[in-house]
Amino acid sequence: MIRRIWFQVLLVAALSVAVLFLVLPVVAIFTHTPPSQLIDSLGDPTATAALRLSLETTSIAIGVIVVVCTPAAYLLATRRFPGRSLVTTLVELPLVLPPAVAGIGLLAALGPNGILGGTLHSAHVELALETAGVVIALIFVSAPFYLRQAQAAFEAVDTSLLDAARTLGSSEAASVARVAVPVALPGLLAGLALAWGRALGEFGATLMFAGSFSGITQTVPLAIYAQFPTDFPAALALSAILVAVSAALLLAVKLIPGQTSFGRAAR
Amino acid sequence: MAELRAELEHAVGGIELRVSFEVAASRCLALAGPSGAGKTTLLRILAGTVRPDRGVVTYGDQVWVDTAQGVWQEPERRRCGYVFQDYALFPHLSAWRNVAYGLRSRGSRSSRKAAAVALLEQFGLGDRVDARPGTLSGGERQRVALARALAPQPDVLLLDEPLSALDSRARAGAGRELTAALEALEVPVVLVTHDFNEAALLGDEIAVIDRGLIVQRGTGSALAAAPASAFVADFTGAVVLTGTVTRGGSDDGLTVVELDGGGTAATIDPGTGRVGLSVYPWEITIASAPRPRDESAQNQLRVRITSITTVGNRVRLGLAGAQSLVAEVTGRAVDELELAVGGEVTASWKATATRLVEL
Repeated sequence: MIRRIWFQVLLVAALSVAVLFLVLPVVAIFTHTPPSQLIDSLGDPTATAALRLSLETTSIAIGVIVVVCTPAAYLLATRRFPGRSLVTTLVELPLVLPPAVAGIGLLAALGPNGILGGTLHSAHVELALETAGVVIALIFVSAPFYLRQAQAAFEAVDTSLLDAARTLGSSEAASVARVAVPVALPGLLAGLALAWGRALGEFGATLMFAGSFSGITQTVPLAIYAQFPTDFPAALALSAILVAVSAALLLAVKLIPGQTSFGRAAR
Repeated sequence: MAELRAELEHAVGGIELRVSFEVAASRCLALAGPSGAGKTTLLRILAGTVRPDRGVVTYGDQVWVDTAQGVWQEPERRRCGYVFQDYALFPHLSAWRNVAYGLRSRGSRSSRKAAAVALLEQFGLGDRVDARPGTLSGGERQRVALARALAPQPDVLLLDEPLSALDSRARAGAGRELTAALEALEVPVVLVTHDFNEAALLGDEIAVIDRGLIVQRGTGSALAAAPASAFVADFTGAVVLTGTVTRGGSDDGLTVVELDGGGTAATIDPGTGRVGLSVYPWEITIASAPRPRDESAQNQLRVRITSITTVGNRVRLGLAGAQSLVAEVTGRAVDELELAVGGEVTASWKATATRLVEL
């Protein structure tokens, strides 16, 4: 009996330590400095520029990801072809790549001296140290999150639904748009939120590939890094905003299946 | 109205399908066979969601598939209404939007909705037009699926096990409604099922598929009366006993079969060598005493009762002698004879009710 109680105590203690450790830094961001001071430091031009840039670059990156990766994920989910699992593994590789390595890789591929650098230069496209470079870095690190989730979501769509749409007069493209995408939507939105969260927090690859220039390539994480040695409250204020947005995205992911009415029907 | 014709060869799941059939307008052909016989694949080939290895599918003078000529009509061009086995209703659309899906290119949005609602009302679902499929019962889903398939007024209707997803209580009512709906249709209907009763109920004709081939085609009662093989007999619900003919074509016209494991049985059908004898469970009578004398039935076996199961208003008796058989009797007979599991009884049936079938 006593042994059993000790085991329960052990479990509760382990969970308490884990929660405390994981939550403490987040709580500290909001409690270390008075809220009024946090709000004041958001008026700083560097902070607003970073916020605007983060919003712009992540939106563009997510837009590109949705347009390109949705059909790509559908193909991976519904077609069997030689080398399919190799392709799946290759596109997931950035998930486990250290961000610094991703930055170096992007420089080696698309930088001024990279393998495609000459081609891009003659086309008057400059990526390194430009806002466009930030978008490229964000797409590179966050696309696999969406691609993987979207592939799983499309794989879960019953093929007889698509067959039904075909026999009712839809072409294949129309049946994907009118049936596969709406049915897979909860999974697609979850992937979108994950990719967006990853893009918002992106640091290493952006720093290596695009640099940290205020208003041009300095996104919120880079601004936090640039400000914390000189203006700790400003860095905290920006951090608080990132925490709030990330928490909102996480909450959205948790709520998506319950919110959408077809989550229920698909069960 | 035109006729649907198919002549197909297709390998699927280790089975080489090789079938040829035609279905006239207003007729329903039931393709019946065990699960995994490739029946659903056949329907998918007709609908155009699976390409056959070889073969031709025509509807009237339209060629839908001709592999030799390289002809292939996409499914959206074939005008096939298809009721899927699990109904495949679009989970993100309400009942009326499911039904209206196939009406997209016709008329205004409001006229499409009116048409879909009218069809749902006709199927007794007037109060469920806005319900999502997830909230519908099995029977309601089946009717929405049928309404959706019929809404665009298809040239051909394909039904994949339309009743098997329903529980036995919902099945009787849904079967009646479906029969009425099919009778009103003036197009060829192809139904696939693993259930002989479903095939006999809904099909004007039944084609039994075994190991990829159509082994017999006819009305349900014709198949039951004269099964062409032990497989067909077994499929129609008959008991099949195996044995060897010891005496055939004698003066009394009886063929006597030495049953495997002991005992003999007679039939009026001619035959030689290894054969099967089929008899329907309701043709077998049960007596507690061994060999009653005043008994016209030629065939008698001493057996032990292994199970007693009530099925509706009948009782199925599982019987084991050297070979197992099934008898159907009334509940009253069970009481009067005091039948119990483990009891020894005599099973009797007439030689005239015994069909000789190929193994």
